[in-house]
Amino acid sequence: MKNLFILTLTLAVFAASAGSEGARVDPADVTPLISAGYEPTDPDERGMWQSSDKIEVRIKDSNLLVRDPDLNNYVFGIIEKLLGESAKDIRLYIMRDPNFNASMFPNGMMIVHTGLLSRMRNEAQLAAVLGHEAGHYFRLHSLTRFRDVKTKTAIMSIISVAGGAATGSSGNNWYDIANAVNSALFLSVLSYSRKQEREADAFGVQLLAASGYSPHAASNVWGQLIEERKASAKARNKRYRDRSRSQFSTHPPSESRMEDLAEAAHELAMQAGEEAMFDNYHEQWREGTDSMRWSLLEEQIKLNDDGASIYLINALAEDGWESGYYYYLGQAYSLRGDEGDEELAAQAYASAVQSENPLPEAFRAHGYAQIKQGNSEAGREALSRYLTLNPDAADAAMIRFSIDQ
Amino acid sequence: MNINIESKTMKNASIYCVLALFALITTGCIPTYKLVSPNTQVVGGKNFSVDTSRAWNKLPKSRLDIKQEENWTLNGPNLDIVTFIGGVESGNAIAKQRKKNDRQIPVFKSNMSPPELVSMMDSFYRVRVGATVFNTTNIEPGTFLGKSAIQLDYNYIGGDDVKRRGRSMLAVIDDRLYLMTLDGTDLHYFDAALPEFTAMVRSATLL
Repeated sequence: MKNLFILTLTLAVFAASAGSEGARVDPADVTPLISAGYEPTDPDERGMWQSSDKIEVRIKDSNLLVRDPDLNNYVFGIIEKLLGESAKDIRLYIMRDPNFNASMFPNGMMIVHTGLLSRMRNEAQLAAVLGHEAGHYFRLHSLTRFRDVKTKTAIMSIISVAGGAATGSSGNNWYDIANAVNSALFLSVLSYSRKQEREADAFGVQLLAASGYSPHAASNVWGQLIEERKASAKARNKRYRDRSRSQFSTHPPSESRMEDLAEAAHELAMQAGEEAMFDNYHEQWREGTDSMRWSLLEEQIKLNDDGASIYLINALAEDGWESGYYYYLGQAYSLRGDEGDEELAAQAYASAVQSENPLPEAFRAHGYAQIKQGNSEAGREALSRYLTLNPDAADAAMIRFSIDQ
Repeated sequence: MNINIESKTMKNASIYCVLALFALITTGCIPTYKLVSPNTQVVGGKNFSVDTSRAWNKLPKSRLDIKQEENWTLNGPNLDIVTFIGGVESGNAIAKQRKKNDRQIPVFKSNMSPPELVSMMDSFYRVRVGATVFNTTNIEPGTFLGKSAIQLDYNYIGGDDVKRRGRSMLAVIDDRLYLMTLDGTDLHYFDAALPEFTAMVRSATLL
């Protein structure tokens, strides 16, 4: 935890030195600085690429890398849709990490956290974040930032050494790998200036509209994130901080950025005219993420950040309640464990088993909830149904034991 | 790191740090590991006992450990670790935490069903241990402290990117949770410690 604190502090120092909020950037003014097949030119850039390549070798071997081919192909397909020919310069790595984040390295390595995917309601929303990351890449933001950060690396080194000595070990997923290989590069990728963030926003929203995605998706993503963080803070009786850089997010959500994005989307939609066919591609999102949809949600729910979890489920379910949403809502109440939560969880499980295509786990949870409420027969019936649907379940022996009690 | 920070001042500072550390250790102000001899040992806040057939190392108490907890290791806690928790009351969590933390370890309730106890453990590993991948591989009824228990097997990957396996024995006796857990690296150390852990579980006696 000390490591996290020290690095967060360091990022905050660099972020604070990165300039003021600045005015809105017009998407028309943000053009790509590089094209397909780009290679580094000067020594600084070549050095950054070499370090990025070293990090990439380690990422490829990570146990936390999601190797599911369907999900990888689907997400990369969105990158292709956005970038066309230039997509061949991008390599996608989906990493198991419940925090909302995505990062773009100068050599074309793009890291997407599962915690980002679990929060998206449709394809357009993910495209908005990927387009934003592409903005950092095509505008060579990490190079500009690297030159600025390099001069301040001495501070980082001292803080980092002190942090390492204090904690003895690391433990922050790929951040540690990147920081160990090249701390200046690590900082340049994780602490873009506010102006760069706004440029990337403008670049991304432009790409969205040009690729047929609703440009409003960008402001919707940040809006959801802000609401989620507000809900999380409220549940712990804490004050929400608009510019929070907690959990190393490279995308500090701010209401002013969200407003700018909404304005840019409105202008782009007006320019495109009434005939323009913008879509959120919700059905494609459902199909493309089908193999991992519930495990992505589970990753968040099991963290027992109940304000965030309950907000997230309700936000995702705005497009239609399904068995999985009810089941994980029940899980969120059950983990929270406040007075009355047992009843709320039981209601959610009852809805989960009554929904179309019910999850097998919903019958298990419903069964035990029924037994607790004194409805032993109905409970056993639900547990038996769970075993019928999931005969090879890891807990089959335990469930059979409960049925026989 | 990119620059060499080893100046004369830094070297002097390091020497003073080492001297201060030495002084603290010799005066007994820093908690240290203690040898546990092969014998019958009282564990888990003096709430139960286990028989050991080999020597273990007892870890110093961490500020996050609850009073009923103690931890042993054979080769260091990153490689293998056994945790004993004896008698957590309903409404309490299995580790200390701040109420303001966004992510909370769920509290134990004496009426929890087997899947709820498993979820509590799953969340504990994600919230406290930093596991981003946690898979339960087997859950079956067992016996612990002479009572009905749940035997939970799992594997996980923590923030250090190392694959580990774990086994937990959970029993709820008189509305209190009793827990014994073995965690070890997937490569070698979990398997190496499992027979001794299993024997300790069998010998566990409520005091």
